Amino acid sequence: MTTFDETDRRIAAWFTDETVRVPERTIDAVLAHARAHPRRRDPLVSLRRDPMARPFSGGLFAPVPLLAAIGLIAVAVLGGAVVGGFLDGPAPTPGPVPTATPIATPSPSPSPRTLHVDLVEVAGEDASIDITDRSASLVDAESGQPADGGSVGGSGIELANDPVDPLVIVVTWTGTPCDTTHTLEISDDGRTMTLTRPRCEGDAIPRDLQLRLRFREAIESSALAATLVTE
Amino acid sequence: LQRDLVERAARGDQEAFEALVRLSANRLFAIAYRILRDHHRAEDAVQQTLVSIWDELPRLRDPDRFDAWSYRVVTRNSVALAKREGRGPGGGAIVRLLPDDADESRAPDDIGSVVERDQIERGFRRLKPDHRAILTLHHVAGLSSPEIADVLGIPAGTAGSRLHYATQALRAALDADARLDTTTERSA
Repeated sequence: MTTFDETDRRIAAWFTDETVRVPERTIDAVLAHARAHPRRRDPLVSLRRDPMARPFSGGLFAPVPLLAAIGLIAVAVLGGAVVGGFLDGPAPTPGPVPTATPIATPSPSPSPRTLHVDLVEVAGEDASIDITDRSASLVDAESGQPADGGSVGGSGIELANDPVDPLVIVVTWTGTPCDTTHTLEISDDGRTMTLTRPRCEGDAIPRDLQLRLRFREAIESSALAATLVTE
Repeated sequence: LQRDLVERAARGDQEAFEALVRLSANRLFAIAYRILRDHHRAEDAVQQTLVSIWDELPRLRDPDRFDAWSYRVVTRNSVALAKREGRGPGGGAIVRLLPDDADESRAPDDIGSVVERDQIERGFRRLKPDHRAILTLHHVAGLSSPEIADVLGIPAGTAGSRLHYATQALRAALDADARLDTTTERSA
């Protein structure tokens, strides 16, 4: 009879007894990408989210984002003062009458962008979501890491600002383990989201799913409205 | 050495990045291959991972977190690829490694180990991609539950329970396979 220890030993051996090597062509392709995309100086890098940042580990008050934010505010204040003549002492003499600036003609609305995201689930069926962004304000999207069980009451969907990255809105909704394919539509003005989930008649145990949406500009979750629709 | 390479690569040093890629690519490939059980898809996952690493490296504040971050990216890419391209890694039928004309009385140890590997392979392929990822990080990368939690960005308790369930699921698959073999032998 096979004991548990023996089974564990067999499993562990199976994982380590095969040596695999990445083909050289893969490395060549990656290095070619790096050469084709040389690093450019990014003055906002310290404001961008650390990919290994722990949630709630200091958030906006962490030292680096805080210093960067103070720096930006100082630059803005100084710039405003110089432009406004604040540092010049005497009142400025009136300048020429400004000419009317041309009014920008509205550009045709861009075609909606679509994104597919495979969602991380703690239990149940594999889930994914297809996002249609009509606002052209979404940069990218990825799955969040939901906790066990269901946490969202009321409407079943919740929007929150990421505590670390002001550009990210975290969407959490509670479904069931047999929910599989979802869609999310972001309206033209970028303020309304409609999330559609399949009607699932199976297991009624609640299960959270989570999506992280990164926008071009910082946005307050309270300024957004989300609706969860079951088809 | 690695910390220095990470810092230089983050500043855009292509030579440092190449050295970093050569240092970590096989390790990442081993993880992707175990999760996906397919060389070509593992290549895709690793290529995607290393490209992301080049693009996003300046955002990594602590160079000492490079290994954990690279494991996170390759695991996410591999799991996403496994989910996107079908429920089972490799997709098709499982190849029986033992030749039909094998004489089991002649080299019992060798043949036994081939059968054993075949059984584990089948059991592993039946697991969900998330469970395959957890087991791979544990056995191939040698990570403990708290380290897996850190890599995947999930609570330690969740990592522990997923590792437990994944191990149980693989054991159950092996037991089911063994019972099936016994039944087949009896009926033959």
